[in-house]
Amino acid sequence: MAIVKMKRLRLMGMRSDRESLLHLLQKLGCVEVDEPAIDLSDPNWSALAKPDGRDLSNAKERSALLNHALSVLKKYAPAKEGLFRIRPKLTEQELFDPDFYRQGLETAQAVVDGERELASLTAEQGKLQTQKAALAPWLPLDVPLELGGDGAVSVIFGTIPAKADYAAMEAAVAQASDLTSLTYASADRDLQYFLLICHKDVEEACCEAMREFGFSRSNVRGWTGTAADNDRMLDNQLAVVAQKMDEAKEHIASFAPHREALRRCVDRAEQDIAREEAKSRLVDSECAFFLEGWVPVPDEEALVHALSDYTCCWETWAPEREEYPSVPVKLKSNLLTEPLTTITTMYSLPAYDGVDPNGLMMPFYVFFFGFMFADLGYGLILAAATLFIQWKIRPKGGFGQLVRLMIMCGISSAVIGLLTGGFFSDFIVRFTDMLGLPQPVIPFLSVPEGSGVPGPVLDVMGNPMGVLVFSLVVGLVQIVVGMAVKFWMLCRDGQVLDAILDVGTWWVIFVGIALFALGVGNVAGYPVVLILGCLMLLGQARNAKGIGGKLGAVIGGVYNGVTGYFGDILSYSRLMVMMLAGSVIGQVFNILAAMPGGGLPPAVGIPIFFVIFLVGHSFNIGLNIIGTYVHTSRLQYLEFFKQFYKEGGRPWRPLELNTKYVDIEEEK
Amino acid sequence: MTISEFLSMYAGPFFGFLGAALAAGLACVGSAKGTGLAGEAAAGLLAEDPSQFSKCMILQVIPGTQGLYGLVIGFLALMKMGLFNGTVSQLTVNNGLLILAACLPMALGGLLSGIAQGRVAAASVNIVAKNPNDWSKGMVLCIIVEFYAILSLLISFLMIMFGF
Repeated sequence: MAIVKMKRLRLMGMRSDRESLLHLLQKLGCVEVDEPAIDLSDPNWSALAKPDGRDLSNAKERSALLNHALSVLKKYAPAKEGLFRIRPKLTEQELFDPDFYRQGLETAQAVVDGERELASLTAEQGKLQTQKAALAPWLPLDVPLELGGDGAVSVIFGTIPAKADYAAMEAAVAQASDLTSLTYASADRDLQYFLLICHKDVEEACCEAMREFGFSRSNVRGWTGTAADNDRMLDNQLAVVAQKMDEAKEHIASFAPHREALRRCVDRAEQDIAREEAKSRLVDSECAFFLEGWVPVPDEEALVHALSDYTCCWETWAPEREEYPSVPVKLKSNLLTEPLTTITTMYSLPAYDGVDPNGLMMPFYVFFFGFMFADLGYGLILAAATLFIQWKIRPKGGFGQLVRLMIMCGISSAVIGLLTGGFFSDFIVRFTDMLGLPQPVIPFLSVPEGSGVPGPVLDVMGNPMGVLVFSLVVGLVQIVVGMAVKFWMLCRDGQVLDAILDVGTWWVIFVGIALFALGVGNVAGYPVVLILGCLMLLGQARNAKGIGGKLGAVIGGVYNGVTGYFGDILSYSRLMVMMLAGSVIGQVFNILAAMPGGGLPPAVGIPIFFVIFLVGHSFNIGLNIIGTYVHTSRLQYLEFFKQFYKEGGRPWRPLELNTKYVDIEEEK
Repeated sequence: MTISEFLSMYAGPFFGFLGAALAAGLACVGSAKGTGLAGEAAAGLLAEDPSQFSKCMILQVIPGTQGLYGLVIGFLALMKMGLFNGTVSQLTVNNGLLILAACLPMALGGLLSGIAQGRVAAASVNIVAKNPNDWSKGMVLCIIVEFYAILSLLISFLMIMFGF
């Protein structure tokens, strides 16, 4: 519920302990290592150097190899694990087991080699296919392709464009000389292919005659035997290559059982990279190393305790105010506020001297979401689906936070849905009406007239104005809470006058408007509190210079306040509109579903009803979840945060064990 | 039959239906154009990087809400006119015109905000392309436009419910 206090850490240790200390820090996960403020180009520091980056590049190479192997496996042996993969649990020791890692790397190398083999076979296949295509036009010719002139006779393999007139060319060649023989081979989309055999002396004349028709020589050198023979030979070779390719694919697929092992190794490689990256930020001397970083105050004791086993010295101190922009921000959350972190980080983390908004936002966020999504059926579905995901795969990171947030929002939607009388919109009424049954009596959800059970507390269709006013009042409450936080922040920083004049003024005005509207507290017919508030507006002029400046500041303050606060409050009308839209769209689908069933026997009508019902409501749920999520977030960002939020914090990125495919178990 | 007699017999339901038709029709056109714009941009990105499908799809769906809001208003107008309980033929010219006027904010707001939002969504696809982690900011930008469709829906709704 708060931003965790950080301390700057300086640590000097023996170089021989460096690796094991980094391992320890990674296991503790409570130190963010950053660059020390030492200028290594300064001659005074010439004895110091950065650790070399060899280990880092090795770790990266291994990670790349393992990831490549996994993607190859994914291509040739897709995993059949469905939507949910359950992460195995490992101890830290198992994760860093060197034998397992070495085997994993060997497997990965074998998979990658297999893929390389397959790639060269594919290239071979392509080459053969190109050759086959080049031979294809000459297949009809029963002539060995190596046939050349023997001094007296010339043999010319030629082509002319597909559009050229072959018969006319034949005639032209015949006219040029009768010592010729022209054989038509074949044609494709672009060219016609033929063979010319002629006496050497008339070759020139024949070529001249054919040139008119776009003749060019075709190169078939390098082949022996007829085209058909060569084609058969290529087919045989292609068959062999195809078989080899199948074998290579099978070989790759045979590594599928190692997938989990590879994933475990990827996680291990990622930990190595994180540690090596931290190492690259250290500074070394001959026999010692120096580390600077941040440690959260609550973890300091554990760190000190762990460091006591090493020969090293350290100091910690709280950062100065000027250093705040560089202090990493870690939010301390409990079970209920932790899921809101995803909403906060999407906007921007609070500054180190700001306020953690998660706890302040939680009740509003969950309530707003429930209010807009308000439906007992929808809410239960959302809560059940997200609970299932949480139970089954225990998602981590931002997605995990979102899932846990949606569990709360789903429950809140179900409760508010019950109170506002929505169960798949008006499903109960439409369904019983279609079957010709009397409307059942269910408190809140289905209340026939005169039944005496309590009706919906807020009915957006029956009393839209009431719901609208309620939305705006809830909005006012959130804005006032935001202003109160601002007030507190200003007082904390010693700016009490600013707090009273910038925030307090508007509270007095709000109260004044309320009293004026109720006609209470008027003195001699004047709304005193409102007038007092308006006078306090003059305080806006306190920092401006000159009469014009002061006047401008007051006018600006009034304008910003009026447009700002009233625009913000009006923005909460979306609460009512989203509730209305969701409920009416659901109602439209219920009516559509009940329409065909009205005249049909129930045995036919009920299945039709549920098909339309299912499609329509799934659509409505999907669209509404997206819309509600974004609108709820927006109300926090633009209306709530605007009042007090100081953003720009740098996220806390400690050196820690951060695994993707496995979970690390605490060792006992 | 004089013109005024003709009008008083038929024009009430006509104006009412015209309003409902405009609200649903124009808002759907706005949504179709908006989702179309976003979809084109998304398809361009997906050709390069198919893994961003879900983000692109959500961005594309956002301008689709105007059509639904139009449907809501059209539906409420039909309900108010008594289409579903068979009293629509008794709608007076005056009330028909009120329905028509009440539907206009949704028709215009839905049409234009749908297109404008589609453009923001299409531009936000660029965010997905360059910086997939920041895509939710694009989503927030889209929702700023959405508010004006919501206001249109609100005012149309109030006019229909409390018009007569």
